[in-house]
Amino acid sequence: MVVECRNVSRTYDDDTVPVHALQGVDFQLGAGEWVSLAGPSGSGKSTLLHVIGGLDQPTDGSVVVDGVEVTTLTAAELSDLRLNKIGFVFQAYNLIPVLSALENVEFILQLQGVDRAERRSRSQQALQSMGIADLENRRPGEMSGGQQQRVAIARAIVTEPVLLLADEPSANLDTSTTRELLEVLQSLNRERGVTILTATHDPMVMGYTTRQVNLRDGSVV
Amino acid sequence: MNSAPPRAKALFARVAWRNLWRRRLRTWMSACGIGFAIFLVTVGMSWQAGTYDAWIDSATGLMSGHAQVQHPAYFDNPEVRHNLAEGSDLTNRLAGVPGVVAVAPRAEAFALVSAEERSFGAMVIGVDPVRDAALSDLSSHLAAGEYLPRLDSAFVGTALATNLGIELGDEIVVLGAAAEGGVGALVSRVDGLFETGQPEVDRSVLQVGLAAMQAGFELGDAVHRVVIKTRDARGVTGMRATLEAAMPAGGRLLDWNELLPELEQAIQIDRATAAMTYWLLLIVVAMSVVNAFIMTVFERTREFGMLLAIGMRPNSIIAMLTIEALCVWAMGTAIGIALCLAVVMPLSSVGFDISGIEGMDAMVGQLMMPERLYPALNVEVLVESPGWMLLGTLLAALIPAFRVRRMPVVEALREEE
Ligand SMILES: Nc1ncnc2c1ncn2[C@@H]1O[C@H](COP(=O)(O)OP(=O)(O)O)[C@@H](O)[C@H]1O
Ligand SMILES: [Mg+2]
Repeated sequence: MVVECRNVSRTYDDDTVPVHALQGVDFQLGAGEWVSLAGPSGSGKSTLLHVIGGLDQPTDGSVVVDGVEVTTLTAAELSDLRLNKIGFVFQAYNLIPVLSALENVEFILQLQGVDRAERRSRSQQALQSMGIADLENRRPGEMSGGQQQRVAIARAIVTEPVLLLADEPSANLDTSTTRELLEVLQSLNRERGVTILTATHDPMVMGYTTRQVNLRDGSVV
Repeated sequence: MNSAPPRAKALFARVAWRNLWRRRLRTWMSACGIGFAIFLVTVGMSWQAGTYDAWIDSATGLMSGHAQVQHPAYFDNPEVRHNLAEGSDLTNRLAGVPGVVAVAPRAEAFALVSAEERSFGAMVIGVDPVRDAALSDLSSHLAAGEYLPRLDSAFVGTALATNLGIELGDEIVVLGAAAEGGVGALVSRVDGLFETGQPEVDRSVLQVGLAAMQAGFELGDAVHRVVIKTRDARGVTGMRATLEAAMPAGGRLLDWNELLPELEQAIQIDRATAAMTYWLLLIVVAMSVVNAFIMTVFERTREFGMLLAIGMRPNSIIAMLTIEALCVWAMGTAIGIALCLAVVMPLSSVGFDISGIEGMDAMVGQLMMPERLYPALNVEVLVESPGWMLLGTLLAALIPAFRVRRMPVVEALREEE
């Protein structure tokens, strides 16, 4: 198992009424799967993704990623977990605006301490596999939304993570661009065996994933 | 887990540098603010340094020199018997010390000066006219006659001469306590009058030949002060050891800070007043830089959230912001120093006419300031304010940057840009 969540709850207490974003979620994700978290807005998809990705701490329950219990890790250990084992793609603003596509991908390898030559070639390869090798010198502002998301995916997979997390990756894209993006993810999943967890309320995603998990009011239904 | 510790990385610097140009106007405003503050402070400091040099030159140049050797008790208790026995030997030894420009021995006594019917108390100073003229500009304040042309000449302040009712060519009699306890006496002819503009000097000082003074007051070869002029008044403290090594018979070495405590005090007070202004200026500018950085960090919350999410350590983000701050500081310093050099370099050789400035004329008379002031550039002037500004800029960047440490990633990610 790449991910094992047991009885995970996340309650926000900061308002007068406590908000139960997740309530007793049990969830498993096997290697090579592409699972899509579905559910209406506010159902807890992002929260579950954040908890699995070590960005947020559950109020209760256990989360094991690649054999490591993440709820007991320190902030620095969580940082390293995210850097080395997880690739993130968000809805928007994924990239550093002042860096080119290639530099954005290289940036994460630099965080890992990979040397310059290897950084360069691996990043170019990643861009190539996303079909945007010719855009390597463009800055995010000079690319379309779909192109930016491809750069974000290239950055997420260049470190060869055990898990790719994508939160509404196609929310800002039109239908045909969304389809292209889903095809890219599908080929990553099928051909390279990348384990993927996406969150989306877009029904089009269903046709591409290996399994769908429905959330409603913070619970799996 | 293979953990990569945060270290300075090439791409961080690139991100930092390019981010500066994302907010061009803000960056230039911060840099120009820093530059302007550094410019004002360095110009102010070089003006001050020039002023102090002028004060020190004129105050030490009149009589006291940069340093003196005296009998250990003479400074606190100036009695004729508190003298240095081998005056000429000490004078020659001190003259041989590297860095010493001129040396002059003096024998002196407080005495009653009489002419025909009137008598006044005055300080009678026996000097070697050639040696003394090399380090004291009293002779240049000649109002009438000549500066000690003969062995029995006297050089008298104009006010004292008026009080005594004497003119050039008149004879005066000096009476005082001699070294051995008897009566010291000498007769001199008034061959020159001086007017320094300092009332107490013009009213109560007269100079006579050293030999005449030593003979009349039973001093033999003894003197009361050996006055020293060095290459640089400010460097005299550093020369203490070498000077003291040239005083085998003992004695007390006093530098101008000790000889002219009021001068040192005036400098300290002026320095403190100016420092307050500088601090205010630097703090105001630092605060505006803090403000600019707070805005930067707030605007980029979403970006920092993303960077934290992909595994960048907060310290690395802070390092990146610090590089940004250092770049702004470096630009500001370059601007400030360039402006300062452009203004001060020409002035430091041409000088600045201060006689026309209102209120300065009083200073010119009182502190014997020259009419032209030469602002002085030195390493201290050029390094101090950029140094403080560096500290201020780093603080300015670090205070908001530490927000990154406490930034909840998830909330940062949800932030709308
Ligand atoms: N910081 C927060 N404080 C309070 N409530 C929050 C916070 N973040 C999310 N929530 C709430 O948690 C619930 C789940 O949110 P989320 O996981 O973003 O849902 P989804 O991604 O499915 O739209 C929502 O009701 C949301 O309002
Ligand atoms: Mg969401």
